[in-house]
Amino acid sequence: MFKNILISLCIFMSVLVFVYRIYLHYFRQHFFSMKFMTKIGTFHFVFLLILYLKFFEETFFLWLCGISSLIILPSVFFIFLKIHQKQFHSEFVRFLSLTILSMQQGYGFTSAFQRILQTGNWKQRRVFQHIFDNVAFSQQEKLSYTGPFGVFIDEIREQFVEVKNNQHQGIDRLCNFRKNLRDRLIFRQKSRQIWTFFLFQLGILSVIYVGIFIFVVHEYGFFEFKKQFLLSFLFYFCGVAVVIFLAKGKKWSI
Amino acid sequence: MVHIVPSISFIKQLRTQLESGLSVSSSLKKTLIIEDSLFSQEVELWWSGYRTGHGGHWEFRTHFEKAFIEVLQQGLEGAPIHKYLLQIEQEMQEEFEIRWKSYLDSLPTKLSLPLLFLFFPSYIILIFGPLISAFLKGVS
Repeated sequence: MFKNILISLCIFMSVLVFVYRIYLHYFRQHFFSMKFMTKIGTFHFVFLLILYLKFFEETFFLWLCGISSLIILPSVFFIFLKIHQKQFHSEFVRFLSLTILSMQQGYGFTSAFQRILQTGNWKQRRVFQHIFDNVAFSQQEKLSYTGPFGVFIDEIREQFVEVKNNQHQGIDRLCNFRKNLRDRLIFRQKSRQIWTFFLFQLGILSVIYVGIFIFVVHEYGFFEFKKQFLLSFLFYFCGVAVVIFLAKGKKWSI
Repeated sequence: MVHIVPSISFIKQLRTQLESGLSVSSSLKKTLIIEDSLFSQEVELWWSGYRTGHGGHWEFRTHFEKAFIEVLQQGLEGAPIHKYLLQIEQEMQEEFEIRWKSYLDSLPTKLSLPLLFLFFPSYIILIFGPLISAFLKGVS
């Protein structure tokens, strides 16, 4: 009994360390703020604590649930954030294009910005408004937006302050900014293209592997041939590792 | 957003700073703050060597890097460099496009190696492993 509790506690602590490391990585990449990291970290901690209290006698379940939570929760979170980030970038480029058009029609920067903000149906209206308020009313204070787009918003704010202070070359500056953003989006799309290619291949191979595995286990049983299955899984795992290495290891030194 | 080609991103940023009316050294200083990459660190090292008068040290990996540093040096000495930076940037982008296409073409070949030597054996063992094992057990 005591031994089981001790082993479970070790598992609980090691999973907790990994959870902390993963969220810290996301925080350093500016995916979310410290406040949000505390919230999500606490949620994960409570989840693991409940697991520990429920399964402290069955270490296998504790391992299984702990590692599954380590893989699933941050992965879902990462995918959600990436989609959100992509939407924000493309919406902002559209917003910028309309602002430039308004300025070319004769509006000043701030009135063009406000006009486009009020007329369009923007999903990120709150963030745009926040940027506008900061640029228009409090130039001395930094925006300090620490959400998933914190660094990007800082860059936008800096550009807008420059445009507001130098209205005579505002359109040129905004056009340059838009061109840079578009270039970056194109580069990112290209980077994503490689990942999509590799992930698609891996997905097909995994589906085939799982299908064959289920069929073979159903026909011949699992425990009798577990050594063969283990060997096969090792080959498969090495294959996945090599494919990920190929996808990740590409460096463009130009 | 992290750029997949840090050198292009760096030059683009430097050019943008120059277009906003800053001098070459101020633009470089600002770009070094904004850009966070290995290339940026190398430029910073080179610049600190250049400023102390020992001559900036740089191990050029590509001829674009060499061209960029030469242009940058001229800019720091007072020559106008915006046009040259634009040219280098365009040429680098063209070079990237060429390499990108050839890399995409080579992907199926690269993927065939793990497919042949790792995935294929794993399927073979998974399918025929139990069969061979049962057969050997029967023979013995």
